[in-house]
Amino acid sequence: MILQALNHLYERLAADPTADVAEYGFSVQKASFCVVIAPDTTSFEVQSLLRQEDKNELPARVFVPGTGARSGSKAPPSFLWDNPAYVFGISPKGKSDNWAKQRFEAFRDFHVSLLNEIRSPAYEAFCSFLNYLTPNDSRVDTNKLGTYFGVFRLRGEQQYIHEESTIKKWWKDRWLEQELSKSSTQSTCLVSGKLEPIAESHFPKIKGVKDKPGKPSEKYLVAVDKQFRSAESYGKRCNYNSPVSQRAAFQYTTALNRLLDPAMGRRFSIGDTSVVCWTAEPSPAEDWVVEMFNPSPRAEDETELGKVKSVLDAISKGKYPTEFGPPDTPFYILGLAPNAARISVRFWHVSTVGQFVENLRKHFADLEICRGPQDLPYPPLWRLLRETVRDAKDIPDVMEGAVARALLTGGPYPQMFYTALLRRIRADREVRYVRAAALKACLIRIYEQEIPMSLDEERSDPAYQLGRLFAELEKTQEDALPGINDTIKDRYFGAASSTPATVFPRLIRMNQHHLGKLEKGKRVYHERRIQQIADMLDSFPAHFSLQEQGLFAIGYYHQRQSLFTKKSQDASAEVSE
Amino acid sequence: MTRSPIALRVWGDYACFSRPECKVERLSYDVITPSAARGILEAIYWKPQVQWIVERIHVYREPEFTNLRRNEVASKASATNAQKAMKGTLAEPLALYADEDRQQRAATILRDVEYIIEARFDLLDDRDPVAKHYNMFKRRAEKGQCFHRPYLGTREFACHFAWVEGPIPESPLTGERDLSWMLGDMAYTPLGDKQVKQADSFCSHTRRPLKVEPQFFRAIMRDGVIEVPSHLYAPAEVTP
Repeated sequence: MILQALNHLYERLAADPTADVAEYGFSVQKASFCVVIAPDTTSFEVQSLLRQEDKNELPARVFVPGTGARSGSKAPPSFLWDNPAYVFGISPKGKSDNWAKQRFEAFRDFHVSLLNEIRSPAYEAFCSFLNYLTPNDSRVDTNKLGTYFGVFRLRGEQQYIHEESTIKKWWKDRWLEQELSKSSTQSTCLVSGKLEPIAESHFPKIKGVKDKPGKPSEKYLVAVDKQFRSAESYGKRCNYNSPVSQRAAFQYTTALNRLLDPAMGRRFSIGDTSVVCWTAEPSPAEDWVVEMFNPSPRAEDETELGKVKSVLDAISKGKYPTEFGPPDTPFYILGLAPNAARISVRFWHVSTVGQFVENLRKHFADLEICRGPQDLPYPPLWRLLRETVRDAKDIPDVMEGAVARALLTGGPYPQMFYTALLRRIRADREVRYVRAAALKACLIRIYEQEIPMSLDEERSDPAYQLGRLFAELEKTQEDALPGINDTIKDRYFGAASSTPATVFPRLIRMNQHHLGKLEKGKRVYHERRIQQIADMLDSFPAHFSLQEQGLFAIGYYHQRQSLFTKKSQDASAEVSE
Repeated sequence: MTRSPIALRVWGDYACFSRPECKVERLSYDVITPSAARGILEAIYWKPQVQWIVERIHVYREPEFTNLRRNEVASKASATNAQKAMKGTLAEPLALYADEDRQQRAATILRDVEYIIEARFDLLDDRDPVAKHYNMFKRRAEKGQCFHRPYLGTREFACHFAWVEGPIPESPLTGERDLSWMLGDMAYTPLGDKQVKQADSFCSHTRRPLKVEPQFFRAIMRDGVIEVPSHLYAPAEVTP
């Protein structure tokens, strides 16, 4: 299904002249120089293809014949493009001149030997140029070579030699012939469903999946290597286990590489998972989603959020953004994570643009909770995850994927996310806006509870009321002993939220002392508020379940929020009196 | 649409019907594959005379995924070594050291699945009355008997099962969903006795060499029902 969708994406891109994807038999390579051959074919000049961008020199992206994959001590040259060692016989550091000379000669002989097959004046000119060239030619301006590959052009021509139509056609025919002869196995391709030659390994490899430094940057999505004996089944080794035709393998890997290419801006990460998303038909939703998930810390500031906020506002009001196109367009989200030399699929989700918008609305509706003036609405996913750990690097990978999936599918958030939140709250005794929002969403989706946005004084759950009571007791202490180092929250929050019967009697006793320190007006005010809550309670339960602990934290948060908003209202009331 | 003679309700907490293309870092199909369904039926009842044909799959839950990571071994236990050990000619102990051969693998698996498998069987030996096998299967399924514990895709995800009598309940899933190409089953083609080298597998009953080819089919779910095309199964070889 993933491969089919990617294959379809390739076909969509290939049909679109503005989207640059390589044709079958070609690949994108980074070129840093171009050899311009003079009409007499004996002289030439080297032109740099690097361009300046923010102090960086960027190579040009050129579509060249072949995959560029080669190995072995006598690695074959590429067709009409290669690195300076092959093109000019210039040896890189640590290699002998002879090493480079061998490659230069291989490059020349390979091209000259094909002269009879390719009937093209441009190709003849190229071969004759090669014959005039000597290894490590003194006429080469090495400063212009750069560190990437080189391509060729005839002076006065617009296109590179390998782009010339007869040469290109010849290459395509040759490529197909070679590819077909490479595979001896014919089988039903699981992408196309047709009987086709099956690829032993899938090229090009996948680049651009985020990984720890020092790991190979190119990996396989579909990979069964020769040593992996336990994956053999029915005598089928390697990728014959998962029959994909050579053409389909090329198409899906090319499409995936394009999605993952950082230059395309279509990839975002959730923890160690690299996520790409696309729609079956072109839609601005594709770019918008990336914008929304973009986890850079800048996403928190308002300019960054502003771009997505207008759409989010519309969505949260239940409107469908019409610029996204028809709501029944299929919408794919693929989360990939590295695992050794392979890529594993962390999540794969197929829906429609309309469903996606609806799930997003539901997600933010579940999160919505009363907040202070500094707290921004629509907390991004990474903020939610950040609240579960002390350090961002401690976020378990599996949890991130699971939370992202809950968001995308509208399903329940993972239990471990909820318990991690509670653990964090107990550890640093802090119920902030994002935490309270996340707890609320978890209680709604995991336990199917109804949680209001702000304080509900009539709610009968003891856990909720005890949370409120705790907030009030804390407030009394704060007012009685301003600037105290260790408040009851710092000492008792954990115990109060899990085993209330052990601490609340003591807290009430302490509260008497705190009340005693207050002047009469304030004392009556606090006593009355505490009394109101206590009226809702029969006794202090011995234990709170996980679900109740969450409710306790929500009650506490609601009451805290209401204390501060109430206070400002009271203050304004006093002024008006 | 007539109901197949045999219908079995199967369900479980987890399931993993690995897609062949994501077999190393496992990723499950959205629903049970016909070959996994056949595996369940065979776990309850199989005889060399019986070839199971899965005709229809009813899906009762929206596919829901979860992730898992665990340690596995990279190699297979050697069959040759096992044979040597049986003869007593193996020098070293017959073992696979999991500690030294460990690989961590990720899996994306299904949660809370429930299906009804509609199936029939073809008889490879026409001297047997069909009713005999049918009733044997029915009795076993009703009692919960099985030759080995049936499982949902991989051994660790045990499968519960129950015989379904009467009409098959409708699925809550609606609409048409194209699940794309899905593994139907393996086609086992017998080879000549001299083609042992080309064989992918051997018939466990007759030891004849077999060529095994995966058969894919376009899985389309209409209102929660997937029709399995009959061409997946090679016509049964009837032994006189």
